[in-house]
Amino acid sequence: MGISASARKGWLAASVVGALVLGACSSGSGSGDGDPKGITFWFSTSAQDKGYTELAKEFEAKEGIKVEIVNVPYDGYQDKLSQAAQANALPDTASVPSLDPLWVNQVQDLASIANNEANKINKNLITADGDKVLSIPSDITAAGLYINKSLFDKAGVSFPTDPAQTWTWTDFLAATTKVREATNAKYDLVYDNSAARIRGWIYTHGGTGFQLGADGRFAAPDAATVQALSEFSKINDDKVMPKSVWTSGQDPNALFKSGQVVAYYSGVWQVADFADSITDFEWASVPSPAQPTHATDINLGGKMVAFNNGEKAEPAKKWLDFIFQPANYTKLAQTNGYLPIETGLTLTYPFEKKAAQDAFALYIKEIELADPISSSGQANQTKLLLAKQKVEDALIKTEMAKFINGEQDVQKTVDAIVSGLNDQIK
Amino acid sequence: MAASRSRTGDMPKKIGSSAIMWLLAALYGFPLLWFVVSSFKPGGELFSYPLTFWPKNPTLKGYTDAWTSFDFPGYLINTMIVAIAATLLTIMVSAACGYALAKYGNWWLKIFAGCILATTMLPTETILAPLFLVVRNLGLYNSLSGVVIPAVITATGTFMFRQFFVTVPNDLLEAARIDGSSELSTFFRIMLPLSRPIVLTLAIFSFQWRWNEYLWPLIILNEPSQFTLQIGIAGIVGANNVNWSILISASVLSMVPLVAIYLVFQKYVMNADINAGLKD
Repeated sequence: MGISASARKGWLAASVVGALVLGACSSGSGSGDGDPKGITFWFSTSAQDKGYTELAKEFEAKEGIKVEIVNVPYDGYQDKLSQAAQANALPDTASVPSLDPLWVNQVQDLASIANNEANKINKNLITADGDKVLSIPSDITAAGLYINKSLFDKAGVSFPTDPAQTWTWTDFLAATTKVREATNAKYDLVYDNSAARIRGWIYTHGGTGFQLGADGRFAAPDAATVQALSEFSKINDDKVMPKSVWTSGQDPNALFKSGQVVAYYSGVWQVADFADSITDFEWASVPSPAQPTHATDINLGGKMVAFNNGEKAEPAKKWLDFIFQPANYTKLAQTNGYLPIETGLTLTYPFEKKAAQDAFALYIKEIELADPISSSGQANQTKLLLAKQKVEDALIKTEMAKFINGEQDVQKTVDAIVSGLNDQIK
Repeated sequence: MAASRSRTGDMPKKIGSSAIMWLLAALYGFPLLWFVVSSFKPGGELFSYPLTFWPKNPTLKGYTDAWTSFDFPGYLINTMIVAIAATLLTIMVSAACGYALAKYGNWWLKIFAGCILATTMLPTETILAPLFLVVRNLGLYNSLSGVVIPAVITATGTFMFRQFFVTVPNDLLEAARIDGSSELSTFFRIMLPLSRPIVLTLAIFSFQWRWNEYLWPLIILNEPSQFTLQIGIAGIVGANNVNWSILISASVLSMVPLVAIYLVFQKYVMNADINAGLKD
């Protein structure tokens, strides 16, 4: 009897504690709306956050408006935004991975910032609906080729350093094969398993890839694209490239960092990571091969938007305006390691490693030289957004994996990609 | 005599089975051990070839970075609040509900049981949108209670208790009623103490579920001051880059409370069937 009595007391205590805890946390709700002088800024990053925090401090000192910076994890960010739109709880400003037809009608027009001549913003990359500017990119990203410089030096093989005098894929693969054989490395190249990165391969081979036709649907690609995809599959032979990256999800970044791979085709964002975490060998950024087209895949780090949140709308726009003023944007780009969306800036990146400094100089030059097709992926996304369509291109990876695995031929792969993309258009 | 003979006869069998157990334990434990040891490696060593088990230059930098680069203690407290509150409520509600399903015979209880069972047949993603609308309309959006309350009713917990209470003889219940015990007092003074092993087993499960929950808190919580640990840790994984050394250290830190809870409660779980036995 004594036991059960004390057990009962325990239960009562437990439920009281539970109720108290719940009460305590529910009373804290909604405090975000409390500060009339504050706005929110959502973005997603694994490392590049210091630039925004510092700018927010300067902005508060100047305008008396506090910016609450929220780093939202990338995984689930889009879901969170669409649910927040339903709950009328969108942030005041944000840097988002992509615009969503669900809430795009709630963003403010940023034309006054984008068209401000002093800002020198690259207008090819803003998202606009007619004259209304929906978003301005926070920064540019592009495909980037890296080599294990220690292996190249060991094998005595040279490589170009100027994007204007780049090599062809044939020369590049001949060089990496020579290096691999001389140094007993495992593979010539690892290539990110990504729909954006395969665009770089297609464009540099002279193909135009998967483009929207005049009817607003994806058209069948040209012969050069089909040819390029065949060649890509061919080099997945476990000698030039390991099959496992494109067929079973092996991490190419880890493979390259192991020092066992001669080169790695990825993106400019790897610079900061490599500068930090490659200590066993020397690495270098080299120009992407051109065969014959000089191209890359230009993408955006994030799309800056300001939402129409009643009385917060004005300070929200002020904050974005502040960010894109050249002096402030210079600080942001330097601190966060961004390739700038504004031209004519003098940037000094805070990397200690020379390889990292050189990499940024090389990529900036490469983007300037790149064929206009390089940003067509972004242009297609904008067209689809304005037509209120949402198309995921991840199926390119699955179809390519089937092709590389020998489950289907190139024509079937291309057809499946085109019809898979078009199936998502309503 | 029979006992001693069987004991010697069992020896090889016992050695064999415990060898398998050890092998399995090693199989499961080794990756975890590798993970924990890796948290002491500097970033440059994580992927170096050949792989080494022990760090060449052990460092605590991953841990100090994890602790300072985001509000680790704050997220830890939030996660504790969510996990503890949700677990207490889950146990209360599941026990009461499971008891009713086992011991009362109303027709609508059967329909109710069907409804609870139906919730297990839909994946979380499907009910995410309607659940979100309910939580929002209740004014729980952007608060920790919005994370706790939808988690309270679990079919697993309810049916764990139901299955247990079905095995408790009705004689016990009738004896209590004859002695003049009210229904509530029978539940609190006799039934709940009897079900202690289930309570503790469910406590471990529930705590673990809430501890590891990711998508729901991410959608419901908007302010960094309310974020849970899993949201904070996921923030380390970017779109293209992963800061492995911080991620591994932060993950190790986030495991510690769970392991501690398990160590405290494990003996009760092991005893689940021994103490629950009732002589008929």
